[in-house]
Amino acid sequence: MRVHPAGVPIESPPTMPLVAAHILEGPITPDAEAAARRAQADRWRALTRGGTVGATLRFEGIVRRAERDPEAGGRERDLVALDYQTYDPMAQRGLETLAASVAERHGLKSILALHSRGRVGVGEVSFVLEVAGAHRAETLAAVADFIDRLKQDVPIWKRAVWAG
Amino acid sequence: MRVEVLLFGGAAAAAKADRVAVEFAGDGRGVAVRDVLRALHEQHPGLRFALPPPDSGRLAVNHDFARGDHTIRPGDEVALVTLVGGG
Repeated sequence: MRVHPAGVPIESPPTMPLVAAHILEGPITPDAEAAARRAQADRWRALTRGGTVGATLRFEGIVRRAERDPEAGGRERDLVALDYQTYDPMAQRGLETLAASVAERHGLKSILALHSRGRVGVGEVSFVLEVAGAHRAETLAAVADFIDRLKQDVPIWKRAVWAG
Repeated sequence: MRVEVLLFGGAAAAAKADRVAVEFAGDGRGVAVRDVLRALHEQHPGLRFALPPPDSGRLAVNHDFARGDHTIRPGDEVALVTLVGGG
């Protein structure tokens, strides 16, 4: 193993981008995210110690307290939760394919995409996207690209659960 | 030939059902995606807000997007995947 002049071992980073994409039941909690990362823990560690990542970017989709209700003339109403419906297994495959495509298109070092299925309450996280690249430009572009294409191609729908 | 189309989200809410069916005369060996979309426009006008144009639009057939001349055969699973709202 190579050693940095500071004495820290340098692990060889993976040559292919790390891609992980999962649909998880309920809100994306820290425990749920940790479990999703566990399968590739060694590769994630090698990547972060390999010295090729210059920028990481994390996006979280969080359920807001209020949304506009089209059936109430667009009036804003309080939410209890959002219910996410997925068309399986196309949604899981679609999320994986999109993650791999975005990683390749933008030359990322890694991408992690997690999306909820089922009920997610106000203030809870329903979507996590985390990317790593050599420079900030590709991470910013990749996050925007992923979310735009998610909202066009991946079969996930949300339904408002209104308060009162 | 009878083609069932699975519905989700706003389309399912409008139809008050998780699927609709369209009927075709003929030998029953298959029907093109564009013809299924055209039939949905004609036979289910309440779904038009969610339907893509027949000639350029797509359906999910056995969990892959397909459009135009792609043939849907008996036993294929067909779904309308539009107005998605992930993220």
